[in-house]
Amino acid sequence: MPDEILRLVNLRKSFGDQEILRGIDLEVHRGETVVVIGPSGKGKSTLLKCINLITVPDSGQVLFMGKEYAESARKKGLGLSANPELRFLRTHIGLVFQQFNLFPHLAVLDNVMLAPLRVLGISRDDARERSLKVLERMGLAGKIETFPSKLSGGEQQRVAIARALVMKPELMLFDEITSALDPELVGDVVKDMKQLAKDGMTMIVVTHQMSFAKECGDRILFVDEGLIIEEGTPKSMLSHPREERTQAFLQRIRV
Amino acid sequence: MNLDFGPVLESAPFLLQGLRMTLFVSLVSMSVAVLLALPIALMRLSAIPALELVSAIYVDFFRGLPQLVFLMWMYFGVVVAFGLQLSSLQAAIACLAIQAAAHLAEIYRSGIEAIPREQTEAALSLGLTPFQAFKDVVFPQALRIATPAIGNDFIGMIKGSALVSILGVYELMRLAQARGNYFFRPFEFLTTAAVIYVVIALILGAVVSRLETRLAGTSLPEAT
Repeated sequence: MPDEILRLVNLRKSFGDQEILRGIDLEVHRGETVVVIGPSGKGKSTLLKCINLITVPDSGQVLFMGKEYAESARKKGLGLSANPELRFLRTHIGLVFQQFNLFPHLAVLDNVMLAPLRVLGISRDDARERSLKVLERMGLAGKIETFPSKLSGGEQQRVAIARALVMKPELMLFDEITSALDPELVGDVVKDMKQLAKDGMTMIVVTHQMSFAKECGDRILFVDEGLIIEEGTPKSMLSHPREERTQAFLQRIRV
Repeated sequence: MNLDFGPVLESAPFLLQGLRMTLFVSLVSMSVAVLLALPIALMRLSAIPALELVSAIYVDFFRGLPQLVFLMWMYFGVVVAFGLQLSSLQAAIACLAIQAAAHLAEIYRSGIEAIPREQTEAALSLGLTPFQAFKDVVFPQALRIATPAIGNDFIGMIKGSALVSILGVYELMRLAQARGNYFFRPFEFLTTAAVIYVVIALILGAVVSRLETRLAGTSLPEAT
């Protein structure tokens, strides 16, 4: 397949005796927006964390731009050593969390600047300029001195997106990033995601925002019990889901 | 009972000198302890059983050991038995620092443990090394949580430093006692010393509680 950016092969992960991922296979191509839906607590977040190997899968492969990383992560354990391969992977994959996870002791600009400064080894001025550009584009230029606790949830989440984007990732992972927001703040964040998709960013988006799935999704995956139960285009998936479980789930979230 | 604080006033330069020594001993010991406590706390959190054990033994042993016993054992026991070239001041600082580090290590540990895992995950997912994630993200937040407790430990250190008078270090307690005996006015001198200790504790206590309110203003992430 041309332009394959990510391929997961038979990914499995258990926590204790609970099997969270039970053999996930997935290919993602450059520029694609893959939307992941499914019930909570059934492996979607774990799936994303296994892609940038913050969580190390028990078995299976994670191929990013043609190179396999999971094996090296398994060997070196969970990030105690500064494994350069893992750092390369993580630098090129952006992850945005449901709970923002901004650094509360740093102002907005420093939140965004930290990684360019520490990881890319560029000068403070360059890191600052680069960060300001991203924040400006996201309409956050007026907030650079503000601490996260003084921002609305929507603003915090957009800072988190900026913090990931500043690293110029090849792939962005979004983990239910609107779920912790007040309903009136969801719109802005969804708008940012839509813009990114239109700009051609490759994205894997775990979400319940069906408007986003319909408008921007190239593919929708339905994940339940640690498996991809069904996948298809938004049109076919949302109007004619084949699997019973998918039908039941879509029914539930529409109510 | 006739009270005469004249000799106390007359001895003011001595008492000031003693106070300076008290503050010096406390500050130096605390500085050493603040640094020494960090590796002890990290060993406890390392998930490496041998290191955890060493750290646990250190903490439990020195927290359980009475300060006075430790000071006497060190200066009149260890120094003599091993023929160490250690002045009473050096022995005093070593004892105070070693013991305070045991307590501070626990303060660090609970501060570090209070920082949600997600903070580390966020840092790692940006490509930071585990060390950078700790240094730039986890530790500054943990230190902020720990600051009031560290401040209180420093107050405790100043109070505890009176014990080192037993080794002959000329700090506030020792000089108050010496001058009191010299003038046959122990009550006046010891009262003065007591008041000075209390005043220092009150002042530092006020500083710590102001620090506490200021730090409370900046929020920490909720554990999820």
